[in-house]
Amino acid sequence: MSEAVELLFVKAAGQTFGIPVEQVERLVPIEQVERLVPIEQVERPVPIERLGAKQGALAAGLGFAPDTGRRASHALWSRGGTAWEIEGLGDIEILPLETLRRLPALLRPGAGSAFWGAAVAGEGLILLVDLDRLGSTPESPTKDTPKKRTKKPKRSKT
Amino acid sequence: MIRFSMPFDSEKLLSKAESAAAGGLSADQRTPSPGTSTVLTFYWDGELYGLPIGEVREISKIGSITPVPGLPAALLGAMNLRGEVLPIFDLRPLVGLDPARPSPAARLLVVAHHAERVGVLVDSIGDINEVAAPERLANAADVILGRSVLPDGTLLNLLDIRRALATFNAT
Repeated sequence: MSEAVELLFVKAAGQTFGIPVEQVERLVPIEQVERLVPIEQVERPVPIERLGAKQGALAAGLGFAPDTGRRASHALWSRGGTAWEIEGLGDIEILPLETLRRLPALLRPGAGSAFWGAAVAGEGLILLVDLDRLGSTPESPTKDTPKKRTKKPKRSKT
Repeated sequence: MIRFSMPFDSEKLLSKAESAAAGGLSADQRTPSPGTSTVLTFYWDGELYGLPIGEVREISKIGSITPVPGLPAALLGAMNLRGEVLPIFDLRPLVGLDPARPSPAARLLVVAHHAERVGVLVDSIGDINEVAAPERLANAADVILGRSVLPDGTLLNLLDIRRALATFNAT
């Protein structure tokens, strides 16, 4: 049996990305994450956020321009201690190594880029993300944060 | 039972395919007349441009282009071409045109750029023409190598693809 890699597929900036499952600590539906809102933006009582000192939209972390039309669906915590908002959650898939491609030099935007390759998927491409290469670390949730239900992503074999 | 007069030679077929992939398009096996070159023409905004046919590795339809952030505006992203990750360029702004708008006739010219292959968006493909040596432009930095007039009076802009892509050398 050929070697394979297990990837979690998530949506950000309107497109799908693959993240090695081993980098993901947990996923939480966004409505279960309490939010810190700057005081000047408060128009009505809102819960307190403990996601961290700054919003961590994965799309922004990857270098895409902000799009206020998109809404976060989940917060994703990496084993490296970062937390990112994603726009959608896909499956976990096991992909044979033959489907992975190195990014051509022209497509590597420079040192520190979080993209480490691409998966050939049908007629398209899915960029692969290394969470450890992304931005700075927001605070971890505090001890007194209510216990959050985490959603176990569906697993499917391809 | 049907017997063929000559056995099917898969190795010969594959060798030919590999030669075609490694070299340029072999659409025209004739040797151009002295002082002329064979050019593949294409259109940008209704204007005719051309590349020496040996520069073009293949012509492809345009599939789904995956954006990659943090790249120059002319580098639109990547496309899956039969399992190959192909960087896709829109070079129209380099000749003073607005960025490309998608259309059913649009195609990709796949050319070599250093050790990689890249795709260049064109509005549509023209003919293959044998053209006389172009009149060189005064501005040596221009990505237009020169201009020729075809027999029907159409002005052909010969693109210096290497100079055009040199702007985007990988860091």
